[in-house]
Amino acid sequence: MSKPPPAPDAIPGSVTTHFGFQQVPVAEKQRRVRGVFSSVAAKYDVMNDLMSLGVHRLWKRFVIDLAGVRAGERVLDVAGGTGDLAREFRGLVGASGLVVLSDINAEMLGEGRARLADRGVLDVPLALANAEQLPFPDASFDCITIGFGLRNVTDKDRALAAMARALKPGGRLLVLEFSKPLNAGLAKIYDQYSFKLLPLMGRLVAKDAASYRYLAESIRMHPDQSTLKGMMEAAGLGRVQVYNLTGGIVAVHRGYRLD
Amino acid sequence: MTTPPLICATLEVALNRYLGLERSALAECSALSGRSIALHTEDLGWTFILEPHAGGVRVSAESVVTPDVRVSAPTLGLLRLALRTASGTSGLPAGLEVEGDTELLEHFNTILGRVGFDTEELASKWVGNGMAHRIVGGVRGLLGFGRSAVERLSMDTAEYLREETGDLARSADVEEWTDAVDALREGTDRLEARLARIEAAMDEGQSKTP
Repeated sequence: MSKPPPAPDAIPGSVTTHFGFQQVPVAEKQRRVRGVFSSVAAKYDVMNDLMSLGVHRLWKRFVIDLAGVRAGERVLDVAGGTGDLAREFRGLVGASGLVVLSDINAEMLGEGRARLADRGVLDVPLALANAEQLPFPDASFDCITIGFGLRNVTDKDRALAAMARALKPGGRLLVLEFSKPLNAGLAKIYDQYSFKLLPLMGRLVAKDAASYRYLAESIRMHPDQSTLKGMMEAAGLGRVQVYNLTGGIVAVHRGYRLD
Repeated sequence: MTTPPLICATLEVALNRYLGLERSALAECSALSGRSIALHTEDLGWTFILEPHAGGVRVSAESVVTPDVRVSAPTLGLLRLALRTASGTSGLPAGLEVEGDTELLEHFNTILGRVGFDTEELASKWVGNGMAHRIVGGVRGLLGFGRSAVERLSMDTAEYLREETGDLARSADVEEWTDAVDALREGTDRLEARLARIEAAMDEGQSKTP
C-alpha cells in the first residue's frame, strides 16, 4: 500500500489538528477524544437513541445489510464502542466465522463487552487498538466497518490506510459517519438542533454538555461525502460508493480492496 | 440520469437476501464472478450494474468495465422480466433490447428462478414448528377465502346487472343479435346484387332499341 497523503484535518507543516472547532496539538487530540468517550460511555446508547430519535438503529441496520456479511467470514468492527454492529455480525458469520470488536477507548470497550455479554454473545474478541495502527496482519478480514468513529480519529488517512491494509483482497470497508446535509434548509435546522438542543440533552441526560458540544463540532469538521470518497480512494480502496441517508446527515461509504 | 445509490442498495440487499436462501445459488453466483450485467430503464434513464460474486450480487450505478450484457427496456418491461424470472419461466419477454452475452443473462435469471423458500420453515425460526404450521395455514386459508370472496362477488354483481337491471346483455342474446345483424347484412348484399343485375339488363335493353 502506498503511503497516504498528509491528513487534511491537520494544518500542513504544523503539529496541530482540530478538536471540534478548536486547534489542539496532534498528540493532545487523542487524549481529549478519549476523555469525551470515557465521560459518555455509560450513557452512550441512551444518548444515541435520544439524539437521533432512534434513527441511528436504521442507519446501522442499513450498514449491516449493505455489508452482506456471510457465514465463515472474518469481520473487524473498528471504533465499535458498545458493540451493536459486532453483535449483529457475530450472528451472521456463524461458528466458522470471526468478529473482532476494536476501540481505542477502554471504557467504551468495557461497555461493549458488558452489552454483548448481556445478550449472550461471549465469542467476540476485543482489541484495545488505535484505528491508525491496527494490530492485525495484512489481509486479515473480509469486511471492516467503522461506525461513527472515523471523525474522532486524529489522522483519518492513516486510519483508512491501516484498514485497507487489514482487508483481504476483494474485502470491503464500510464507513458510517455523519456527513453534510444535501439540502440547505435541512442544514439550517440541523445546525440549530446540533448546537442548541444536542448540548442541552447532553447536560440533562449524560450530565456532560461539553462532550456533546464536541460531538456536534466534530461532525461539522468531518470531511464531506466527496472528500471522504477521495480519501478512501487515496488509501487504496476502489469502487467507492456513497449512500446518503436522512438527506445526507449521515452517509455510508463502501469501498473494496481490489489489488 | 444517475441511478440513486439508495435504489441500487435496496435492489442489492433484496437480491442478496433472496439469493441467500439457496446456498447453491450463491455458489453459482461465485462462478459468475468477474462478469457483469447492465439493466437500463429507458424511461427513467437509470442503469443498474449487477456483478455476481460469492456473496450474491453487487449493484452499482456505473461500471468500470464494459458490461458483458446490456438490457434496455422501459421500467415495465424490466419488471415483466423480473416477474418472469421470479416465477421460474425461461426465456425473455418481448420488448427488451439485449446486446451482448444473452447466455449470461439467461444463466443469471435461471439462478434467480431456482431460488425458492418454504414459508413454514422461515416462520418456524421465530415461532416454532407447530405455530408456524398454524400461522402459514391460517394465512393461506385467509388468502383463499379472500380470493374466492372476490370471485363470488364479481359473479353475483354480473348476474344482478344481467338478470335484474338489464344493464348487461346475456352472451346468448348478444350472439343471437350478432347473427341477426349478419343475416341482415347478407340479405342487403344479395338485394344490392339483384338490383345491379336488373339495372344492367335494363341498360342492355335500351341500347338494342333502334
